[in-house]
Amino acid sequence: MRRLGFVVCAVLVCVFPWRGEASALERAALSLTGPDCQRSQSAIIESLEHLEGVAKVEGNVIPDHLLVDHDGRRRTGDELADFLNGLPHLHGRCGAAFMKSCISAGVGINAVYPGSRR
Amino acid sequence: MFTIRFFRRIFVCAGLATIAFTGPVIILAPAFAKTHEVSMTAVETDVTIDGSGEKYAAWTFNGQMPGPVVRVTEGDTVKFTLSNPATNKYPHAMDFHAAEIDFLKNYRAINAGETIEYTFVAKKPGIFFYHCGAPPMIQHIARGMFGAIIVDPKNAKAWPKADREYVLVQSEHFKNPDDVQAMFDRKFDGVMFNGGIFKYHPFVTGGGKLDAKPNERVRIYFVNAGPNEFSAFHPIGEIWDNVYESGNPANKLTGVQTYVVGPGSAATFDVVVESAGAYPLVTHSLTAALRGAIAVLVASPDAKPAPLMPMVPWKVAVPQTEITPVPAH
Repeated sequence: MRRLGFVVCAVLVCVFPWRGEASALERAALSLTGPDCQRSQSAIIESLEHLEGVAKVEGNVIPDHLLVDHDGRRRTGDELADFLNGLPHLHGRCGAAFMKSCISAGVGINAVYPGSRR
Repeated sequence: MFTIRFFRRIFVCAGLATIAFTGPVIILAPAFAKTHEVSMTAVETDVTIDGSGEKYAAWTFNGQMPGPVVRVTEGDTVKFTLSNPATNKYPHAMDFHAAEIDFLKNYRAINAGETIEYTFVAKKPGIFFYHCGAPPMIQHIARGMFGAIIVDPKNAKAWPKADREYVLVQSEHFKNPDDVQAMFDRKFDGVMFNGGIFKYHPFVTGGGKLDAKPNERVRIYFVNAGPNEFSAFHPIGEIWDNVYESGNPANKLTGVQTYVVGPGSAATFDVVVESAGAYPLVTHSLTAALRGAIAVLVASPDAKPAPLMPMVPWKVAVPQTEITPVPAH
């Protein structure tokens, strides 16, 4: 019986951290500027999708922007932009910047809604 | 004799002419006004309120927050039925702001297992709030029992034709649905459009958007469900072309930057965006906007048609790819 309890606990400990990942998911909006952005968009999306911690990249929601659903504990939005700006084949042809604006959620929101972006 | 015959002929001809001209009007007039049978069910259920899939123990009309949009034309009759199933725990009621009827008889709360019916004529055009009025009303509204009824003007030419229409209902979110004191104290945790925190904010996980094409006249039927906060509705990057208080074409304002809609009130907003891009529609009461009341209107030449209240109910898409977990320290 004690062994069964140990097994159940071990399963819970192993399984529930995975469920907890959903709360770390953030969306970063990256603006793209440059002559090659449109042509290179699928390659850019593919590069981002290969990054650890990136769940989804959408390029057709907002004009000239990428929306990246990623693990916010692993990288910030600025670091995602830095990653793209560091790709040699994009250098000078398409620049990325992490979008910050007046409609970014307020500081209080994370306390209430951990899934929401800062 | 001749005179009598003459006058009789004149009288008969005049009568026939009257029937010929006014008869069809008299006969057809009632046909323009329709009768709508609107049935709603009070449903106490969980609804998704943010992009991470957070659930909220809501009280709703028909299982959705806001309830379904009712749409009729000025002069139409609404035969309304509210059912409160025996499986529910609480009394519920319905108050239509578009109706002009006795409150005592029609808006009374009914217990679980009961039904109430009443009829009203939607006499005035506009956008109107509807809500549950069962006590404590502040809680019934805060938990989700609200919606919108559009009464289109009988004369469609009373205002410019809209190319695209949306309904937005603003409401406050209280994390603990049983904390009525927090509702009285105005201690809201978030503010929602159409029952979701940042539901139409594409920069937030799980968020969507409102679509339009450049140069389309976009008409927003806006209702403030409250229960307490005022909305200062403003289009970032734009100016409201027209605002119609209570959605009545007779109440027209032009070139408005921000328009205040109090709790329990409504207005219709027209905007024409000239170029492609993003135009956030917000309440400029920023404690509300930055806690959820932002809807981004994205103008793009390939915008597709959309329903009046997109993403209601909100089905949050699960990411296709699992993210790699961070090792525990």
